[in-house]
Amino acid sequence: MNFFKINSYVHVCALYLLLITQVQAQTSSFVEFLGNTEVFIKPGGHKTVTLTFLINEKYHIQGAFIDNEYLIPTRLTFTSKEEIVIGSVQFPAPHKFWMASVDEPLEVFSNKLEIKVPLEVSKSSKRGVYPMKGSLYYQACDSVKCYYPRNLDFEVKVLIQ
Amino acid sequence: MNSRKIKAILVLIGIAVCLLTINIYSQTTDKGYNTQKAPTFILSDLKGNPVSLDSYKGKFLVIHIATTWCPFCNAEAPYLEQLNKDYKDKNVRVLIIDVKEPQELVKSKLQDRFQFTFPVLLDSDGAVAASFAPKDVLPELARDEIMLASNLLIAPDGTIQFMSLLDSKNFDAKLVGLKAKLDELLQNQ
Repeated sequence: MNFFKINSYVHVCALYLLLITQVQAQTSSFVEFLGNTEVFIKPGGHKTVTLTFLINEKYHIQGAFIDNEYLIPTRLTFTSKEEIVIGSVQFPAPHKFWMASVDEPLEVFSNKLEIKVPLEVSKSSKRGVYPMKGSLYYQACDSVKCYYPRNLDFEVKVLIQ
Repeated sequence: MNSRKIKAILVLIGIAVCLLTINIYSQTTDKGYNTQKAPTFILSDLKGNPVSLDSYKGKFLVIHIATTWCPFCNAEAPYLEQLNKDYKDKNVRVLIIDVKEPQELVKSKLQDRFQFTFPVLLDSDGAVAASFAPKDVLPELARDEIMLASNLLIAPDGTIQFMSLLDSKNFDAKLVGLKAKLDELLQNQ
């Protein structure tokens, strides 16, 4: 057998192993932060930044403003320097999720979640990089199970220039 | 070693890896819990009274593992209450084990809301819920977490005869699957 054939078989085996690890990995994270990770704003300026989160395809998370007081809504909070003023966060409309054999649907987010965050910077702000630490608090379920609420911490760098 | 042997070995490795993958994902329907003795526990109810699994010896016991914020748990709640009423005369009892929540919260958001006529027990550290969890299912998650919204059916001899975590592909709020198993066991006793 020549080197090329052996190499091909080794690659096929490696692919099998990679497939297993990737499939296993998919079960362990419900939501990930895709960005924006950097925002440029002039002193005295304002900008609405879109933060994008990816909800693992097997799962959904509860909506942000839900009628059901017994459920845990998704929340987005920030800490930042006083130079950055954060306005009211705008969540998209949730979609309905019907649990099998239940008449009343849930209001949830799934797949890509884009949240708009208005930012304002005072005229007197000094130029520089200002980290804005965010935390997405969410409670995920799949089609048959629910999981404890969790925080997803992330950071956005606000560049005042 | 000639090329045919190397090829055969690599193919066998590939098949073994495929079978391993299939096995990992078939474990969610593995009924390996059958005839396993349920782990014993003593938990407090909402009035602080201790309730032990041993006190249900000789009876069929339905256990639902819940939290107040779990939508599936909330959807099942009325059907658990109805099951308790429908099967009480058939030597069947029902429990809810609430995981990692304070007594006041569970009382107001579960008991007062649904008016259960069966005990709601407090598993304050999740250890009891975790004790029922299969080791190999979703190993990256905490054992008590994977048990949330699960239903268990324990026979009079203390063995686990049904676990919705492992059997249900679709959510079964009306407990159709559990009741079918319960009826089968009641008929055969």
